[in-house]
Amino acid sequence: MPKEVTDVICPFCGTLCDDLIVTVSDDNKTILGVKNACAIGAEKFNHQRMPGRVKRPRMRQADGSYKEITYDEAIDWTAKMLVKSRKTLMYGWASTSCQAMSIGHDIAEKVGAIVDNCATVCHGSSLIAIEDVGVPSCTLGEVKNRADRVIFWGCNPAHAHPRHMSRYSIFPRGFFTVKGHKGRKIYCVDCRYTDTAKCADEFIQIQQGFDYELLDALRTAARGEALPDTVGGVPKEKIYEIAEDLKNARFGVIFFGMGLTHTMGRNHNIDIAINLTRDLNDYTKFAIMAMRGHWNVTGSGQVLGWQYGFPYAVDLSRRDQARHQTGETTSVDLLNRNEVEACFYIATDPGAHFPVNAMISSSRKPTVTVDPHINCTTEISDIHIPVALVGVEVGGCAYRMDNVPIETRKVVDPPEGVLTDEELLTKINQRVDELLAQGGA
Amino acid sequence: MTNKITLNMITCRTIQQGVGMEAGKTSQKYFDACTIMHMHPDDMKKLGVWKNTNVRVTSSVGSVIVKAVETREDLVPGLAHIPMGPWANRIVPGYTFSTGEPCFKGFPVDVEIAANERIMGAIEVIQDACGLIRK
Amino acid sequence: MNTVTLNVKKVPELFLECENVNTDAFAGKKADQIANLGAFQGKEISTLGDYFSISGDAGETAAETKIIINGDCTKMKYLGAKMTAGEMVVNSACDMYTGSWMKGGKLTINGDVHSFCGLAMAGGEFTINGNAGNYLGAAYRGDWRGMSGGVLRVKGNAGSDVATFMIGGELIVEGDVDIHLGTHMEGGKIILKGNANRRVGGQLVKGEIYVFGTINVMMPGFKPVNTVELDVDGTRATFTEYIGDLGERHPKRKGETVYGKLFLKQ
Repeated sequence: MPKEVTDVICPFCGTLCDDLIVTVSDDNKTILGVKNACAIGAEKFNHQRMPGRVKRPRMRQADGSYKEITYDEAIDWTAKMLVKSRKTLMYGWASTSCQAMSIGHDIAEKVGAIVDNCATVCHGSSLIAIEDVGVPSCTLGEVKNRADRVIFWGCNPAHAHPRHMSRYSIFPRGFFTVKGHKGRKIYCVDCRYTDTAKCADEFIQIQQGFDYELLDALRTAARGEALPDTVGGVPKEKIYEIAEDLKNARFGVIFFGMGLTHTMGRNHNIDIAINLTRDLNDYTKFAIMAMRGHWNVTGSGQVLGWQYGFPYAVDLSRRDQARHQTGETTSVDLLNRNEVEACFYIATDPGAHFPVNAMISSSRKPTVTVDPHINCTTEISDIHIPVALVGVEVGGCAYRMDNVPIETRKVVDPPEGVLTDEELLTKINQRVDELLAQGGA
Repeated sequence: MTNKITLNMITCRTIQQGVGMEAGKTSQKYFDACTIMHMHPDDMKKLGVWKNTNVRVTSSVGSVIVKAVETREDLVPGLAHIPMGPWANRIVPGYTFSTGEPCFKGFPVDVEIAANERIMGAIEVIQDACGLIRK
Repeated sequence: MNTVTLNVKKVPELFLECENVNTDAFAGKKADQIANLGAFQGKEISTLGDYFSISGDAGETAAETKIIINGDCTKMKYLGAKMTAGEMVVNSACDMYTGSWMKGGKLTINGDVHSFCGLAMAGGEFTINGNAGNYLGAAYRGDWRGMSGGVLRVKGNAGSDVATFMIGGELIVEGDVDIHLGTHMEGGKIILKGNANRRVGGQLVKGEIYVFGTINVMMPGFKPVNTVELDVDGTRATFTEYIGDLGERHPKRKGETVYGKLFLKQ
């Protein structure tokens, strides 16, 4: 008899939906169906049963083909690489559990590596801005129950966080928002008419790369000062109207995404958005939240934050002190500038998501990739170590985009003999200890 | 003479890209979702390209072949969009303005028709860039 | 004044963190003692003697020491960082953090510098006879206090985010700058001889920015108030005076709001 597992946490995006129902075969090995998930989340669970999954580590040969090796060989190779390298980039962490991260950080501390997570090419700019000016934020529950003005700025949850709008931000009826969608006014600011914009009451089309100017204009308008006729393609009458409407909110929230963090100005786009939120708090209650991408990238920031004080790009090469400087210890810069000697990627795919020059630089160094599936990074690495899918085949702690910790659940067993991230990292850690006790590689 | 236009490029997530990514980087779904370039109909006219024709997109760091399609989420003329993935990243400049964040959105590209060129697979496109394909 | 000359004999493979290459670290040391000072390349700790051939002894104090560096320093970070007195000349391009947290003395770079140079500089005289990178004279990440004193002069162009969170001192760029000049600035003076890309004086609280060239797109929060003729860095010209950033919070002095000022040459 197939059984249903309820309240499953979806390990795809930062929304971490916690109401999935997964049907599992009798022997606990195959997923038969997924309910309540979005298209992407369902695909993640369905992918588990696809044929052709790699179950043993592989090593690249001189002719470019891959040879199967044992876990022990792969662990030994990895540990030697980490111990030998003068500076190693340990990048990823966003799709694994917080428990695995803390073991990884232990290794990084011993071998003097740099720990960086996917925020570096995602919401890193937001984290810089938060370091600079702080952040007045809230939880998604508050948004659902209180928010009557919601602004989506440079983000497209209809595509990137498919259930965000129905669970928290646009449609749900909450304690003080009994009218649901009708009781909220939704703004969408973007350079294109996205599917999210189609759900919004008001779409403000902005010229690409003029977010900073428009946010400054909104702050200026909120203070009643003069404005030029148009800012970033938006007429000044409109800007005054929006500023006035936002002041009259009961509870407002700004959600922002890659439209701010990836465009010209980066961190400054966010810090002015945070300052606008701060200004609006003079009149009403306003909050701002980053639409975090990977399901546990927030968790990586949390674990790094409590262990070392910085949310990403932590340089541990001095062992006794953690350093962080975006532009220096961030992955793309390290690779562009060839400042690292070896790369260790876990639970991410920089091959698909880093600019090409960074990956060319990476492919010329000893590289180990830990990932359940074959992806663009595994195919340019020296070693690919497959692991169990966190959130599907093994549980673990994750943080939602509003920094709420949620324990993910195991749904099915991993393929036989495949290690979990935690087990693998523990073994690498032990091997590193042995090597260091022997005085290096 | 080949016709060439300059556009402002942005790379973003689409739900099809997300689904494709979870279906596997080597899957057909991922290939179909990421090897396209959304263009405004006016720009297509200007370039003289029919929809679903392959084009070569060139930026300051490299070039890639993708399929030009008409935009579903409206763009303004002059703006183009490739869903994020190894193809888009073949042309994303790595310069970070010392923030760690490369220029994923808002960089100029040249677009020209390359109807007879082949689009590379996901693994091929990154291995080709890294010089790992042995001929 | 005693002169110590450093000639690069080995170019580091990855980079080299030269926190000990400044007049304060050298003060009171003989050449062989200087050669034993540490230098860092990732987790590998080596000595300055591994990378430089060193001649000459330093003076008793930093103020009596002059350092001259010849050879390829493009991968060397922290040169002249935290120096408080004395003189230092580098005849090469340098990497990040050159002259950062500098408190006094005179530092001259005959070449380009990378990002984060003159970071949170508090005093002294720092001259770059080349181009500078991003975050010149800015604050360290998460800090509200950028450059607070001294004079920083760049003969060439500078990158983006120049003088972010600047609170004092004088910063002169003779070439052009990229986006975000003087963002969050709360004091001090920026003189730009060339052109600026966009976003000059975003969230400007206090302080003065003089621009001799053009600004691509003006920030919406700036308002022209006056036309003035001024003598700036030895050049007399007519400027349009703007106040701003009107979107930002400004302090009040004797009941009057103090605004930041932007002077744009007509």
